[in-house]
Parts: sequence; structure tokens; C-alpha cells
Amino acid sequence: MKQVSLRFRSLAAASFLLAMGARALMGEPMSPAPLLDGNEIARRINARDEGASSAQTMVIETTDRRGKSRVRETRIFRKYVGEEKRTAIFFEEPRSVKGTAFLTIDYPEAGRDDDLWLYLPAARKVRRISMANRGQYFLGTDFTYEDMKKSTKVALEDYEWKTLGEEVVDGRRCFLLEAVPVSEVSNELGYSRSRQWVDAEIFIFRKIQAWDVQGNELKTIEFKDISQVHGIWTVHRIEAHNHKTGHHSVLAFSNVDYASEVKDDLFTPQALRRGP
Amino acid sequence: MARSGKPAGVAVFTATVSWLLTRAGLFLILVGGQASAQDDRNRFLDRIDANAIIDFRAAVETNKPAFQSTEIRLKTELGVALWDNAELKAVTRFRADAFDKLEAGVPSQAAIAPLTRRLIIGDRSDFELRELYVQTDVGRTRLTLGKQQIVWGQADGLKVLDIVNPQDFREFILEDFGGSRIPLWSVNAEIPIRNVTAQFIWVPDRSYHKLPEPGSSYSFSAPGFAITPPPGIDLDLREVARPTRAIADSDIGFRVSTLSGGWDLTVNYLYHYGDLPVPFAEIDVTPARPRLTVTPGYARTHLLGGTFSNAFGSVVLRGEVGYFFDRPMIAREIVDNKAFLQRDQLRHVIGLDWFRFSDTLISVQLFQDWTPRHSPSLFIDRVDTNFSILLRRDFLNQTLTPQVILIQNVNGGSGLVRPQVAYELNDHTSMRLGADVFYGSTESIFGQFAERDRVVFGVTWAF
Repeated sequence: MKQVSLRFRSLAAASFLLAMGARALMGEPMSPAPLLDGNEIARRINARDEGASSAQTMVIETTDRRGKSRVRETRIFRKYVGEEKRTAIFFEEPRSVKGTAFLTIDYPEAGRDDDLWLYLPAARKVRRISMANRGQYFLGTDFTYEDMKKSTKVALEDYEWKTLGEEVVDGRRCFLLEAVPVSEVSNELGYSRSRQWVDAEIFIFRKIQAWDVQGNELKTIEFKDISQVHGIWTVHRIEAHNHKTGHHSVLAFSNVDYASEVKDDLFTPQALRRGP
Repeated sequence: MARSGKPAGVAVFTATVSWLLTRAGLFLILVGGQASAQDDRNRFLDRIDANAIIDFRAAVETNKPAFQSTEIRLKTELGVALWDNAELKAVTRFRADAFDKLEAGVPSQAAIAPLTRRLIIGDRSDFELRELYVQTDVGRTRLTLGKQQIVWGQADGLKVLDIVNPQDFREFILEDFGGSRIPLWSVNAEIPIRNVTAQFIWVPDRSYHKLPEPGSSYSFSAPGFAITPPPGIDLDLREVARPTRAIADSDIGFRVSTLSGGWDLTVNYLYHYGDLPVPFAEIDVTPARPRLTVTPGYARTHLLGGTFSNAFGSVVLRGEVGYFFDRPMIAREIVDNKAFLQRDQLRHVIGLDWFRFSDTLISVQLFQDWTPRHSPSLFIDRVDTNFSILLRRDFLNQTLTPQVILIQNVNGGSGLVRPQVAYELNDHTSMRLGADVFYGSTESIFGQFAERDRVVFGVTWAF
């Protein structure tokens, strides 16, 4: 795949034509859609319907550079209460982590920290926790808490987006964006910049490449097995490769359900102890 | 101390639990009789969740190098889905130790109610039904009936509000609370009301702290914990006398929890017996050599308290406070046949958890017990202060975790240091290597175990 890296708006049209030409040679249908502004693409990503609530199984598989794997099976529930996004994750396998549970409340106000709780069954106590920063890695995976929280959405206030062009990923026409964190949050997020391939029709990520705050290539995240569930575009597999550590993480989603009711009572610290 | 016995309350409670278990059994039989055998078996197996943990632990004392314990524990958990939103859960634990030091000989269970006791198998092993309860929803109320642990508070290492269940001090405070807490037969109802959750508990199980007997590795010897008669007086130490009235001597309590303005808040109340036995004493001066007869018993107290916690950036502030009315405390003098005084006591802990860098936790806690109407005959100071420091960092994608905990009693100048490294070999196996180092005067709370410093190695398999 040829990456188009153009910083000047005057060259954008040329890059668009090159991309269209390349796709035509590959036998793909042409689309006359013009390049959208990066911020507009980000806005459309967030405008994409993800349901008022959802329940799904999430299997987390991590593999280190020596090939040693760990697998965690969880049930994950999400619900919007007003503009608050509430997420509860219950660990079901293996036995060593069974019963562990997380609850996060993501508030709509910019600058307001999320509330997080953790239940550890050995201690039988629900504890309020915090994060060193949003770039802290989630439970030994290559995804940060911010990655997990935003999932396939973005924090509009944290980045400045620029559309670099178009490319094809997994046979899908994508906008190629460069996202640069606003200076004050770069260290917190752990990224200096990232390139994001966004599906031009359904506005969902297909691929992200990220660089750390020192400018070294950090990781590549790929979004796979994307299909509609109850009319909602859903990513069923997310893979992250950490280029610095050789560590690899996969999130596999199944039993996705946007239709069944998810009770508000599930998103309380008390519910973490009881389980779903 | 209670005097009379009325088993009616226990009968009602036992009947209620039996009814639920019977209903569960009938339900399963009915389900089993209505479909083909294969379908039945699959359906039945779908309702069952069973797993087990095997833990091997070897502890070597370092002052006079010798094994303190090489113990194998088998913990089983069985969950059976019953009718809608109802589950039966059973947890058992079997322990076998090659050395008879942690509980020398056959331990007394006089402080534990008969239905709650362990099955002691010889001098070196025991079997315990740790938990057996039915959890179900009645309307919006989550009801848990049976033998269970009810945990209040958030403090690490030491307890302020986590006193609904008594504790087994077989290894002083070295065993994790989940393992040392003594589960009790209880009724536990949690009711969500708007943004508040109300919890009501009734504990008819009259079981109290299990203290190690003389000769055991962690038997108490410091003043204020052990009964030592004055010179020239014989001591006749009787078996502990538990309260006997099933209803009147049961414990009740409630907790109200809410999240308000980012603060987790609870208000807690518990009417209970103090779990630490206090000496009811009589001196007989008629013999040539006076005799002090001591019968350890229990005294009532009310607890009113609360907890709070909130996150500020990467720091979590949390605390607990409990005001104990007429809390019994061991004294140096005997008044009205009591070698203890009952005084109000304010206990609190304030903690800061700092989630620093990535995968690093620095946690500090300050504990204080304040006895406003203090008496010189009390062993405890008017203000008794402890603090703790925990440093922990995860490496290798959270598979390697070194940590160190320090707990220091300021008044007595004694403390405990616990370094440990844990490594997760795979999804089912983990290993740990650590040490427990006590320091301070032998008459202080931690220093009394200064001869019990140890190195501990353990392996856990979960499947």
C-alpha cells in the first residue's frame, strides 16, 4: 500500500487522483467523493451510531515476543445514561481472574476525569481507582485505557486532524488522516502523532499507526471483521502490535447485542461484586 | 455478656435456608425430568460453574532456621444457576500442613458457633465449608441468604469498618483478609433506591475472632492481648463463653451507599458483639495461694461510621471512620469482676493511592484510634497511631509484580515489613516469593512476633 503524505492543501487534489488511479488499476470501483476535512471526518466518526446500550463477549489475547500467550474472557456492557457513557467489564475466564470487574463512567464535560472502580474478588472490596494518565496500558494489553474507553470513537478535544489523502485498506476506500495531539495532552496520551485510516463510507477505523512521544514508531492497530449487528456497524476484532516490545494483543468480540435491555443497576460499584 | 439460650431464631433461619435449598433441589429435579437425558445433562451442566484452586505454600522461619509451615490448600467453588436470577454458591477449603505449628495440637473452636466450625482432621489438616448461600432477586432487592462474607470498608492491612465477619488470627494479619475472614450465616439484603443502595444485614451466627492458642506460632503474648495474672496468683483460664441467645444476641446492621458529586459515600451502622474476647474475672483469696478465674466473653457495642473516596487526577483519596459506643478494652484492673473497661472509641483511617507513571502504585494510610475518656488502666494509649506504605509496580505486561508493604505502630515503635515478588507463569499458574519481617519490643503489637520472621514461597494453580 502506498502512503500519501502531503502537507499542502494544493497537493491534495493530485494525491486524490493518484489514489483513484491506483484503485482503478486494482479493479476497484471509483467514487467521486471529495476529500473531507479531517475534523469533519472525526466528527462523523463520533456521530456514527453505536446503540444506546450494548452487551457483548470480549476475549482478550495477549502474546509476548517469545510467543507466550494469555487469554481473558470477559462480558462487557455499555450504556448511555444521558450523555454519560457507562461501561462495565466482568472477567469470566480464566479462574485466576474470574470475578474481577471494572466500572467506568465517562462524563461528557471536557476536562472532567472519568470515574473508575475496580473489584478484586480476593479482597472482596470495590475500590475507587485512578490512572497515572490516559496512556496507561489496560491490564497488560497493548491498548491504553483511553483506547479502551473510546473504542472506535475519538476525543475531539484532544487532537488536530488533517486529511492526507485516500488509501485502500482491506479492500475498502479509506480516508487517511494524521492526528496530532494538542500539546498539553501528548504526554498524557502517550502519542506524539498517529495516522488513521477511516472507512470512507461507514466512518469507522480500519487501521491506526501511532508514534510515541519521542517520535518512535509505537504500535499498529487494525480493525477487522466489521459487519452490521442490529443495523449498527460493529468491529468484531481489534489487533494491536507493539513495535517497541514485540507484544501483541487481540480483542475479539462476539455475542454482540444492541437490542436487549441493559439495566442501569449494572453500572454501580455494588454490581461489580455481584456480577452481571 | 449474654446468659440465656433460645434456639428459636436459629431454627427459623435454618428453616428458611433449608426451604430455599429444597426449592432449588426440586427445581433441578423437575427440570431434569422434563426433557431427554442428553438434553437434561447439557442443560444441567450449563447451569453449573465449578472451579478449584490449589495453593502450595512453604514458610521458613529465619531467626532459628526451621520450617514453620508447608501447606497445601484446595479451594473449590461451585455455582449452580437456579430459577431466574437465583444462584446457589458453595465454597470449600481443605488445608493440610506438614508441620503442626500454626495451630499447635487440635485447636479449640469454642469461639465459633457449632454450625460454622471447621472439621478438624487430626493435628495438621482441616476442612471448612467456607460459604454456602443462595443469592436471588426479589423485586429490585438482591437477597443473599446463607454462610457468607460481608465486607465493609476499603482499608488495606488493618481494619476499621471491616468487622461484620470475625477474623481467624492463625497467621496474625499475614493471611489475606479473604482467607482469614470467618464467613457467617447471615441474611444480606441490598436494595437500590434511586441513586442510593441500602443494605440490611442480620447475623444470627454467634461466632467471634479465632485466636491462636498458646504454643502456636502466632499466639498473642503482648500485654493487652494476652491475660497474665499478677505475680503470686494462680490463673484458671476457662474456655471462652459465647453469647447464647439466638435472637437477642444476633448482630444487625445497615449501610447506605451513594455516589454524589464524584464522591463514593457510605453510612454504616452495626449493633454487634466485639469480636475480641474480654476477661470476666473472679479472684478467690480463700486458698493459701489466691486464684484468678478468668472466663473470656464478649460485650455489646454500637458502631456508627462511614466511608468516603474520590479521585483527583492520578490520586485517590479514601477514608473510613467508625465511632464505637462502649467498646470493650482489656484493662490492668478488675472492677465488678471485669478485667476490661468499656469506653467510646473513634477509629479512622485516611489513605492516598497515587497511581504514578504507568503500572506503579504508591499507597499510604494513616490509622488512628482515639479513646476520649481514657483510663490509665487501659493498655491502649489515648491515641494509638499506625501507618502503612505500599509500593507496587507491574512489569512484563503485568505478569511480574514486585511490591513491599510497611505497617508501623507509632506508639509502640513496632512494625511489619512484607516484600514480595509475584510472577504469573501462565493463565493458570502463578508463583510468589516473599518475606514477613517483624520488629520492635516483644511487648508491642508487632514486636511480639519478632521471633517469627519468615521467608515464604508459594505456587498457585487455578483451574
